[in-house]
Amino acid sequence: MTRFVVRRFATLVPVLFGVSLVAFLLIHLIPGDPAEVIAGPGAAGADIAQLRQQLGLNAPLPLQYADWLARTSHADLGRSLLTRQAVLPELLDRFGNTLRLAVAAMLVALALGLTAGVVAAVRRGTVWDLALSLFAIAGVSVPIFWLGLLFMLWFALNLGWVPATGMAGPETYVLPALALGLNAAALISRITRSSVLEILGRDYVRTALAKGLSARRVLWRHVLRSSAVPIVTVAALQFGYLLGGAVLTETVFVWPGLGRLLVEAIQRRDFPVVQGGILLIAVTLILLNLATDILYAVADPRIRYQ
Amino acid sequence: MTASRAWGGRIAGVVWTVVCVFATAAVPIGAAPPPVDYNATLTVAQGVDVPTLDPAVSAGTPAVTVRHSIYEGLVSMNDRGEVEPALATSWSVSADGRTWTFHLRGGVRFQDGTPFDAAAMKRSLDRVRDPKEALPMRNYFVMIQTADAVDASTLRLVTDAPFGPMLQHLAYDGGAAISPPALAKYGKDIASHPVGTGPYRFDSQVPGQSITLVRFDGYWGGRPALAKLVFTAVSEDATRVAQLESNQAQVILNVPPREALRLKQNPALTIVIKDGNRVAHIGMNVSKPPLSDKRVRQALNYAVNRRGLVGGLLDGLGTPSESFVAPITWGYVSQHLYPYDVKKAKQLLAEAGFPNGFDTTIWTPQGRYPLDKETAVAVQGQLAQAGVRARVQVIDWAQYLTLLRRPADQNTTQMYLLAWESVTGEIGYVSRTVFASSQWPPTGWNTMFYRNPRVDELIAQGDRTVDPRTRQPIYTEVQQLVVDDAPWLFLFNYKQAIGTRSDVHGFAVLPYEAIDFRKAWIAAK
Repeated sequence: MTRFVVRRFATLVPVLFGVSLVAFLLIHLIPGDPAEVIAGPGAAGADIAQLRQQLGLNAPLPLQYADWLARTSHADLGRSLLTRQAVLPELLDRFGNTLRLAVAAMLVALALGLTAGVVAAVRRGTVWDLALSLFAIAGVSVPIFWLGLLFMLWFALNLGWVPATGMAGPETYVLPALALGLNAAALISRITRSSVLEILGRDYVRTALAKGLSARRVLWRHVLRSSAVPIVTVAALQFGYLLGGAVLTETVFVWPGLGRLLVEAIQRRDFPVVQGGILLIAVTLILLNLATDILYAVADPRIRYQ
Repeated sequence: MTASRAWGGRIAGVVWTVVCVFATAAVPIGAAPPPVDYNATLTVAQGVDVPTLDPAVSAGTPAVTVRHSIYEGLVSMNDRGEVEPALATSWSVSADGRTWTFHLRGGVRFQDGTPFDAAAMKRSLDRVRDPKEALPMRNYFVMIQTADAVDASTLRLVTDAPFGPMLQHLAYDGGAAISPPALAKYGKDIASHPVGTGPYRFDSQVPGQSITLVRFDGYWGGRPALAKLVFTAVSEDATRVAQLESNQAQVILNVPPREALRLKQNPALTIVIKDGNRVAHIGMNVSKPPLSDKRVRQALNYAVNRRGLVGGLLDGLGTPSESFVAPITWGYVSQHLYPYDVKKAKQLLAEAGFPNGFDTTIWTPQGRYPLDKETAVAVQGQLAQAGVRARVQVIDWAQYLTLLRRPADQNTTQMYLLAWESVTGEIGYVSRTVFASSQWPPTGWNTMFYRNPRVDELIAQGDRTVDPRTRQPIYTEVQQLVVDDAPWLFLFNYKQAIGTRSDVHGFAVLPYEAIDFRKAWIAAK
């Protein structure tokens, strides 16, 4: 196991190098000039050219990349072209906000998704199953931002239970976490249901029941643990998706997360922010994948990495 | 002339003070004004983030709105587009129109305690003019040759030639006085540590979320009414509206037209609708056929129903264009342009050799201006009536700027939607920036590649003319010529809709879309 983890970390180096190259090229190769965006309509061509020079955008691309890579290896992601603020502290700050929301949304998703999935599987074919399937289909199909606006209308404007927007006390987490979490919960409930159903039909479950174990004990000890692998996979994927920054939810609830920052930076062609942001998300996803692989081994002892 | 201008400044100052006293009260004569809540926090939700608080970096109207409460310049502009005294109490201009002398207000301090004087003002103007600094607002101040502090309370500016809209340029954001010690200390980081002479000083900024200003007790103009002034960035229209209704924000900008009608029914809210000076149009590349033919361009102007666009698309939050500037902009004269007449359009197209119309592309950004893409689509439908088959192509803003600013020989655009506004509140700015042939890309923003020697001559003459009475006829002729040449497909002028809680008073909506909150107050409960 230790060797496996060490080996996985070693493979990170070439992957990160590749990611840095893609992150750099993606934003540099699409048309659009940050100097023009910053100067805005009306600025003189000569001033735009001077600004471009000052921002270091006239240097050849390979040189710009080498420079960025060298600085990045010292944990310096440069300064935003527009705000001239250091990129790394801002990215980490925004990432922290995104992480908090993602964790809150995941808690909602796991609590609702696992419960709904297990109930639907155990009560297969009943009204419960049907109702929960409907909930799952609705949860996957309804656009999150629309759901977010509806929640805002009901819970913030009509009922006044929670603030409509912003990130402050725990009460401000309720609406965005619910809106994001319901969508993930729907997916998790579907996977849980099918995974649990498959295990329920196995011989050893029948044996366990036949030897007199209580249904609850069988469910917890034998069924849930065995059906965990696909559930962990989907949950981890969902979590990774949430960590990339849920742009629409962040926009609706004015959540100062990473997604909104990146979208704005892409629109402004703020190269250092975009490159740093993509790199940060990539590193997070790679680490999350690693954690998922380790969790597989914990969940299913048959999985061993050589 | 010199003396009368100086007096003009003083009289304007007195009149402004009187106007302010009445406007701020904003109650019927005879009724006692509600008491001011000096502990109030006013939260303003704008549509976009404010990336920089450096007045020498433009960054759009929302940034100007925030900076208005922090910074002041020599003069400022009021909601009717008139220039009035600010840090200068009076001014005069020499007979040759090149030397401007400003008499500065005494007893003014920056928010860091530094006294304001002529040397401080000179430092800020020198900074924005310095080519080495490469500051985007430099373009507005290139006409200034030298800035000299004659004594502590007198500043003299000498321009390379007489410059008509001098005061309007100084009134715009880039001419703000920045504390010299703060500039020395922070350098480029002044963008996130602004220090001016305005009524509110910078307290904190949460990037992408909010900017908090607090009352500056040392303000020369008396005690500012609000304890705190918070600006938030809320891009989603529905969210801004929800914040206003739930009182999380007391003022929201850019209320969507349909919501404005609904919110008006709520007695706790007030919807303020003001004319703006932003003019939506479709620019036409006149360097290539078929749009190089004036008759074709005129035909397209006849084919568009401006009134229909304003009523159907903007729900009345606009006025049909009658020139290339809006009525609120100084210098505007209605040209009664091109009535809606599809028959005439078809006839002109036939005369130009296109009896069956032609194919073209309309480029448009999305989300940059209110209903921009929708406008392009509506125009596409109207042009189809005249036989012109337009394709609408949506493009992101950064790419759009690059596309438009390609030199003539590489520029493949035919028609593109833009909305220019005269940020200086007078017609000279748009005339010079957009219609002078010296401003073809990549030098400037004449992205139509329009050239009319008479227009060029008049624009240069208008810039050199300081007396507004002599200046006006020059621009009347510019407007006539441009409307006749039709390098633009003229559309409409936007109106602004601002939603407030009913107990918010005293703010001013400026012609260039920014809001002046310096005198805003909230009534005590």
